[in-house]
Amino acid sequence: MDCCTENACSKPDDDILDIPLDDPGANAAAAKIQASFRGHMARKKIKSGERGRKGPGPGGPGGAGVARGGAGGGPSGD
Amino acid sequence: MAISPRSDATFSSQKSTPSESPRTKKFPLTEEEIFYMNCRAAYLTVFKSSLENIISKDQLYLALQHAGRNPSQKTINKYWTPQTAKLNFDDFCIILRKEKPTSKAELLKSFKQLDVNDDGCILHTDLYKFLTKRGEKMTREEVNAIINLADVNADGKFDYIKFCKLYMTTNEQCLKTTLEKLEVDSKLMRHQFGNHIEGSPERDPSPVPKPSPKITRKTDPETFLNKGDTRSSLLSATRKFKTSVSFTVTMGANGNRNSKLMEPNLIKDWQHMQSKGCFFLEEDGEIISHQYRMQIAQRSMVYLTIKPLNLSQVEGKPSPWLSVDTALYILKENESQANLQLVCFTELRNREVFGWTGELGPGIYWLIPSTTGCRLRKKIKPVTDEAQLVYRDETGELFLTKEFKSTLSDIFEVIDLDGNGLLSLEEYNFFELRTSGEKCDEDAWAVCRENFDTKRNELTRQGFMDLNLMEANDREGDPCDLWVTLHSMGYNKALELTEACPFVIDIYAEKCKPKIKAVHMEACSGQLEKAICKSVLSNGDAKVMDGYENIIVHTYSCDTWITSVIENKSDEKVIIHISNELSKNCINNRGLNIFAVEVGPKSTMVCQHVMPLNERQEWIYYCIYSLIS
Repeated sequence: MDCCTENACSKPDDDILDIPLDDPGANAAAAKIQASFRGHMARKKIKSGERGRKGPGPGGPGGAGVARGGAGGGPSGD
Repeated sequence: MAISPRSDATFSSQKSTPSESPRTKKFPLTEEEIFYMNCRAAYLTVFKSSLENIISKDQLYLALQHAGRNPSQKTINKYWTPQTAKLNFDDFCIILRKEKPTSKAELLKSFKQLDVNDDGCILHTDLYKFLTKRGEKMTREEVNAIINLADVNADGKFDYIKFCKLYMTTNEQCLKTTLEKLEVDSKLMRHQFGNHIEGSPERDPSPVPKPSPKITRKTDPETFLNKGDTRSSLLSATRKFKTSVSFTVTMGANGNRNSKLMEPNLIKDWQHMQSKGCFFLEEDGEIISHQYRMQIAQRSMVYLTIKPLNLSQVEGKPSPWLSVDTALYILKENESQANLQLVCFTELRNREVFGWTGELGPGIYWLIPSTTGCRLRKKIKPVTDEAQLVYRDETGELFLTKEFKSTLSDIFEVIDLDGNGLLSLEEYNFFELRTSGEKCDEDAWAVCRENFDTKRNELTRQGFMDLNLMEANDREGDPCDLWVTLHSMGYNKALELTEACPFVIDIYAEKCKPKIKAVHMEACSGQLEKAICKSVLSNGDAKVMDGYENIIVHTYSCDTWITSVIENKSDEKVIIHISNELSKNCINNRGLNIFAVEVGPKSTMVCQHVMPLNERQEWIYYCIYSLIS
């Protein structure tokens, strides 16, 4: 952490990996990686049963109870 | 704790829920059906219903991520412009079609650009600097979240090869989880969409693939209702809908529950009159038909029916016209022919027969036959074998082949409108107009009567045959002109009747002898379109466009077909985008799943007719109407 912070502070204008900051190919790769990371983290949350921002929270009304009833041990049957 | 995914979770019901019954799938879902389910599954992780709109960039962003995409802000801005107020589920599906998921190979390729040693790893210090200073810059916390993924980080290095595997696994698990939730929500879905999920129809072993619309589409030669019809293959992403309304109907297989046609008692004692006619498919896909004038002398109970005409069946030859739907609209003449008032239409059904029964007062009525056009359409099936029409015997004399004679006999049966076994000049002229575009005048008819077999000044079947043989002789055996005749009557090169539907109308009246006469052959538009619009507005369900109360979508559904009409009460023309992509086992008369129509100010327009592809299965009509401008 501190090491990263120091590097960021001490060399703000340094070329990264010897690639100019305005290199379009590198920037496109960066954007692609960033979007993939962000997408991955969003989908990772789905696995834990978290619903979207507008969805009902844990223990919410409607089907939410059924959806989250088995969070502990999983639903019986199938 | 995460719920353990089950391998069969994606497509099986939750048997533990008592209200649900397990679904058995004999045939795999089509690619299109899978795509649609995945769209809904992702959408419903963010919204309670696919009828809800996306009202912010963040919602769109999250829904796309849950659908397995990696949208950048640049991508989001492409679909959510400064003018965008909201998007609906249909828009969401369109975006997902255009934005493909990132493949593992693509992802690896991007990471390799940062791998200076080509050892499958990137230093955390390099990754941090790269991601916070380039592209759509990440925050320190975002990068830390990645660096803290235990499985793919060690010794200050990020193992991107392992990450790519983890990435794909997470994608798959996310999809399974969202589909599981879709199953759990199925009870709610049934309430909102009428068994849409549970009732997915089983498909035939060899289904006809439904083509999905592509971004670039060839010009479709089959155009219906050219007037005011704007066709767009796939709406541009920069084009926004002002508002939308959707309509869903689920039909059971062979539903004949409510509108059974019953023959009146003592029908045998009633006066009977019959006339034949024919629907012809024009080159441009339009359908034309005979139209009739009927006279009722005094108030009487009336029973009218229309059905396809059952011609003699040559063994092995298909008869597709027998599955064409037929209807009859009855209009009363007030003061003049220009002022016709819709009385009724044949809304009752008994198998292939459509009918109406009720009381009619004395007067002149117009009978206008109608077909939706769903079952009578151009087909692009190349015919390999051309049938032989004529041949010469040993002496060189010309004869009609047996097959051609059989076809001519059927044609005679069709054009003999009154069924008396003879062709009057009027009857023959419907045929002549159809085949040559000209009428036969009295002088020419006199020549016919002198040279061919006639009775009471009308041409016999044999006379009709000989007339065609004479034409063949005039061309010294060249069958070209004969083929022109056959094509215009709806026959293909194999002498199969594929682009016409002969029908028969029966009229019974209790108290008087009805008179009926075919008056002209006209396109199924004009008076007919007015009659259909009036009928749908009277009998159908009306839905107003949200926020645009002057735009109303009317939908009439019976067991056999569904017709929708768009009513524009405003003073300006409107363009409506129509999508049937979410319908199941349906076919419409336009031959397109997505199209647009322009409705003039203060007018109505028939939008489309829809029928089941396979009548023996459940069919689901799900149509989304969106106001463009």
